[in-house]
Amino acid sequence: MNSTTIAYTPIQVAEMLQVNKNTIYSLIKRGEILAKKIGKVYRVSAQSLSFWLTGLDYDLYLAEKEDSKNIASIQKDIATVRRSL
Amino acid sequence: MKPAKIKVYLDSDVIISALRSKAGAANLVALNGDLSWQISDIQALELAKVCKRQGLKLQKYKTIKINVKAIFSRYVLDRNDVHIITGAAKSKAKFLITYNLKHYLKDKIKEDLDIVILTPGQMLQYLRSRE
Repeated sequence: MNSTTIAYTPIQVAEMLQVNKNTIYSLIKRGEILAKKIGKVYRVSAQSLSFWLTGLDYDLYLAEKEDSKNIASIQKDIATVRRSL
Repeated sequence: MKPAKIKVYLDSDVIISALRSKAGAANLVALNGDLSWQISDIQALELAKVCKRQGLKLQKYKTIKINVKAIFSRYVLDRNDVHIITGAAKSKAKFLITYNLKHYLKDKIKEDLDIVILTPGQMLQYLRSRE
């Protein structure tokens, strides 16, 4: 998910999750993904999508994403140091 | 009356992440006033070495002394992580906060040691759910 995008189309959500768009429409109809109907089309908010995917509020999702930028190098260094302790 | 602070134990990846990024979830956990945490003497040694590799300045933390026991190796996939579980148990933590969820046998740890393993974001979400 892009941190500047506020809402996604069902097709974009399907592409992100690598599922068929009908699966997303079905999840929206069942209420599993909260979406807003604007005229004849649906939009899924970034907040709704992050909560559905991670169980985290959007700000917490972004805060974890911030940490994820460095986590691979941090864990690599920790693993190296732990082997030497 | 103010509720007692929740005892947590932070894995080294969370402490280093907190030092690397002020806006990250790890730093929000490390500075959260509802939580109390300390590190083990072995972890202090580890953190000093990792900070050096990462070019970070290590802060002073409350430290407890631990003896790593073989019995705790049943809770980790990598034996090198055993001092983290030992530290969490010794400090009587209710939560172990880590980004390395895959290396800990979380169900067994919960069942035997009553310690819940969460990521920093999940811990913060849990705190919100109590408000």
